[in-house]
Amino acid sequence: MSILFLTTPEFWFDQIVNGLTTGSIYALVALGYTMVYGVLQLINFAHGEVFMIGAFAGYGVLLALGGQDISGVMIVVALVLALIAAGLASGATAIAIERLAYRPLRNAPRLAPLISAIGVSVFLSHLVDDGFLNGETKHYDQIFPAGKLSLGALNVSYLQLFLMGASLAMMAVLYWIIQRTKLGRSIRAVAESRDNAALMGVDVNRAIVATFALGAIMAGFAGVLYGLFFSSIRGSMGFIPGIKAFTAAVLGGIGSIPGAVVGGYFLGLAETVGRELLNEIPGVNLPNEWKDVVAFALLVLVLIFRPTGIFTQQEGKRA
Amino acid sequence: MGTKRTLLRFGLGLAALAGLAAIATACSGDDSSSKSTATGGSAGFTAAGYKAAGLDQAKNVTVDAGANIKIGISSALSGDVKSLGLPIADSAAAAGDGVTIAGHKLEFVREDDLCTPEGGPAAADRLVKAGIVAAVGPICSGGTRASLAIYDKAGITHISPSATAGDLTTPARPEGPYVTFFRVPVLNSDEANAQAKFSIGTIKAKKAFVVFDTDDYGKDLSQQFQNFFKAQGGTIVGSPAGYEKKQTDFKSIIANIKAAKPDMVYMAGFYAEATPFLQQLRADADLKSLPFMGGDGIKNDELLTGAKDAAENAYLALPGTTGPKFADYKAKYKDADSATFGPEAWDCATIIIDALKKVAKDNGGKLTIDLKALNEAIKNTDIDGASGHIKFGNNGDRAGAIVRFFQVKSGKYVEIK
Amino acid sequence: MRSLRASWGRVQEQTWERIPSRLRPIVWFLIAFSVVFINRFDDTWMRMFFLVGLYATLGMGLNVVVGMAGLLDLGFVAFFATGAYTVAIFGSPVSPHDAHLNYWVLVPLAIGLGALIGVLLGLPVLPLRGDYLAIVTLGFGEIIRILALNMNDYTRGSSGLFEIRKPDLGFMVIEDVRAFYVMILVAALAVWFVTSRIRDSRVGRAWEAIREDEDVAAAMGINTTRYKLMAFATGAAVGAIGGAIYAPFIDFVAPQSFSLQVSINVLAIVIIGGMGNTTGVIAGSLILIGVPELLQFQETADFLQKFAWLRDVLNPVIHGFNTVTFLNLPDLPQPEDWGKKLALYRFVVFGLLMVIVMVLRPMGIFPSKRRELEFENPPEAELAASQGVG
Repeated sequence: MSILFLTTPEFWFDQIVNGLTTGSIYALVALGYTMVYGVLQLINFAHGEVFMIGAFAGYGVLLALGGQDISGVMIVVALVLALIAAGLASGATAIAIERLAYRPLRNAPRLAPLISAIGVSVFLSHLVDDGFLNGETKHYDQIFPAGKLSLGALNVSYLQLFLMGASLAMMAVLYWIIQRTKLGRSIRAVAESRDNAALMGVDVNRAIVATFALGAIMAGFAGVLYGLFFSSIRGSMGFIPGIKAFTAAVLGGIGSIPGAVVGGYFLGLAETVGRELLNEIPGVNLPNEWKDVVAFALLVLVLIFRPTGIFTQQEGKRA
Repeated sequence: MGTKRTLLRFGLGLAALAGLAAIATACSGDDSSSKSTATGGSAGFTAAGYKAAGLDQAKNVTVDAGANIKIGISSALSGDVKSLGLPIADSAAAAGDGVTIAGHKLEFVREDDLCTPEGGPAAADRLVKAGIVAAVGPICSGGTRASLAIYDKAGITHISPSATAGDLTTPARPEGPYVTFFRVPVLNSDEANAQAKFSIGTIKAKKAFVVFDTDDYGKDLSQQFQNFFKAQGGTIVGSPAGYEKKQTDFKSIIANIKAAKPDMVYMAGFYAEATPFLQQLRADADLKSLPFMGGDGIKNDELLTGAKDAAENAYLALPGTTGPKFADYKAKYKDADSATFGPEAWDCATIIIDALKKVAKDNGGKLTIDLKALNEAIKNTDIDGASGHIKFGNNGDRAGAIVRFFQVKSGKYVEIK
Repeated sequence: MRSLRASWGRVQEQTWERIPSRLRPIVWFLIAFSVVFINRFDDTWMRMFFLVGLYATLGMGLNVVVGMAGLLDLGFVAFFATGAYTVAIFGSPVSPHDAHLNYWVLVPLAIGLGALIGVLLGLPVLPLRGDYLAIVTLGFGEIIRILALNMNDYTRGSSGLFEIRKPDLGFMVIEDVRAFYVMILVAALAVWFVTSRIRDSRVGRAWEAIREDEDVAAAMGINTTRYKLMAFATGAAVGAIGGAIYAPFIDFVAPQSFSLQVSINVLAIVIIGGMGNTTGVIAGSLILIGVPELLQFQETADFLQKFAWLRDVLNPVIHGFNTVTFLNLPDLPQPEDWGKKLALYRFVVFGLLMVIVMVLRPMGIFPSKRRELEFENPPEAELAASQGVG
């Protein structure tokens, strides 16, 4: 019954924009997964919580600057400060996690750091939820100027434009750091081979810490954007975006930075536009509550048929 | 190789089991239509029900001289529903503040039922063991369903301030409804009926888009609303969109709302999700003035502080009235205005205390309480409470239902008369 | 390589031969416990013992997968849910697909379905390395829950299934907490026996080889995928057993009972107790499931009241501290509430323990002898293999 009226171009345009907005956030978070995996072959399960810490740091800054009452030029200042605070808080959290929970296990059996990562994830999300918030949810104030850019019947709100633009800019900066700076070169060298990099005089520990920090800063930024756009934040908020972002990283071929970005947008679109497209098939009805199933099913399918990601043409399955 | 054969056999065994499952499913499909009438529709308390609870005869408990009379509270004291559960527990306890019965103080024993099916019975066991004479709670339908039998077996009467699932008072057992269970909240069906009437009569909506929490409460309330709304001449446009608790991304649903062009949006859920939903709905210029209608789970002060401007003009239904005794309640509990189900919880405790005053007998310093008489006194309750007038129907549900409507104006809930 | 069939046969042979000598003390203990001790505890305690037993059983199942075969499964709740839903869908009058089947018919069906789902999930993923398995199982656990939530025609969604038919033994119906406790105890012992026999068999050694180094194991001629699949199916079957016993016990099967939290609980039990070690799993279950429950007991509150003096001593200190600093620390709560307050933070403690155990005692608090040796003196090959690993 939903087929009849869902065919307006506006509807599809709206859903595509929605998919791209969610996709931007997945892409930013996915970068952290893919970089850490590239360097350590570790799924950093606590990355979703690093994202959560960023969201709360940004929330704190916006609240301190006046919350709802921020207006005019102060909006720009507040947003920049919130992003910086989030990047710092997330970066510091990730460095601490690496130092305390992962580094001691670098030569332990494969399962150990993975379990340690899950422990960190459980600890952080419950510490915020049970320890600090007593199970409450906090809400970002809607300070971003309302309004939209219209092209005939097609609309994009300023907030969505900002979100997509800001995430693209951040990813561009990250790409530049990885490709063009000395730090980036050392990270790539360690990802290629830790031993060889060490032999070549690369400070392996420094490169690993930098990898964590860069990924975490992206996640922290994503946390603020998430708060601005979706408003509700809580201790357990990182879990689902975390898994989705990891899925995005796998979709794009884990270890590949452009892959994570493309995977993020692809997953965002698959969840919204993809589900609605499936609904257009007569007899198929996938209401909103099935959208996580779509994402996870996609993950399983990709792992079965293209374990190296759908956009890559690497050799065989990754060890 | 032998390995292969073993594995083949292993696989065949599993396939056989799967086949069995399929057959079982197929068989059961045939008679499923005839089964649905087996549950529900009981006529009220039965003698067998009283016998099962051990309340077909006097059942005395004694409170020693100088000892307190213990009343249980089973509520969510931790976890996700804590912001609903803590005010409920506090409101109930406030009703007993300073009350003495024949020189015995009241003591409220709180247990955390976590609002879960596991937590309910565990809390019930602990309360029964603590020596309570009656209880307020559990607060959620799932936890209540799982603990009905425990209270019943102990002959302890309990009153829930907030468990609204329809079938709690119509269990499928030969003894009929549990005689030890009463509840004061207005049921989902009454609330949904009033909401449908209000939508068509006052909002003048003909086409509604339905958004619902996929939990027990949201699913039931939204289904009931759809039925009443259609029965009264309205149309439901688009597919009703479900979401899970803690979801924050409603953009995809909102695109569907826009495409369906409804006269109003109806939401059955809780404030934690209604807050981001309204913010994202109102962020879309085209949907800025689309009427929004929510229920008791959404009408909470948290919605006003969280959604701020986005909550403006939202319509919210609240079952129950502010009864004549609301002022008394507010005097004892300062957050009375914002406590959802708080007045009901206060009333639950008041009902128990009133009944205790009637049946407790002083016995030379000791206090004798007959659980059967207590149960009877609770059943015959006829009082004005903080949530309006309270009487119980013949299976423990509250008789009569009043639903009030509010609209958010300048960041406050304003009642619409 | 000798055939699998022969090795299974050997397990069977040894099982039958060894039953009397190995089981005798356990049987005596079971009888003694059920007769002598059970009646000393009331329902509150029995409920806790049941939960400890249930989680110990689930832990033993996951232990086969994580501890023995070294496969990280983060969606164990899926199999638990499969077991519970099988019993509930086919054995509850409120279910739209009630098959009117006896409970004892449904249990093997539940086990079979659990194993089948384990195989179906494992087939595509197990040829890959462990990390992917972790994330796929995590996603799968969520999928099962979302399916249960939305397939209203089968599961009644969040309204759940209840009034599930109780296990009927012929001479008695298992319906009170005590009887369910004995049931889970029997199940736990059976699972313990079977899994420990498998561990000591050829299959168990193959798992161990895969866990320690998959490439070397494959080079030695072990069909790694096949053995991993067996481990996965065994674990899944045990999870389903747990679910099948849980369903009639709780008598309310609904999606909210099958959240990720259950998977985390079971994993924490296995990790903290000691991977690969059944005693550790039981100890882990007692610590992680039993203690938080115990903290909320009346007995604990009564006992803690003896420490009221501590509050009297510490509160002035806090007040003094508050006057000196800007911090406005609250008073200590009443001593009888300490236990309950502490129980609220159980997951914070779980998470922290998982990290600490991994960093300081990677073999768990109660390690298995074998693993302890390995962890303290990792073989050269493993050190080399782990160079590329986090």
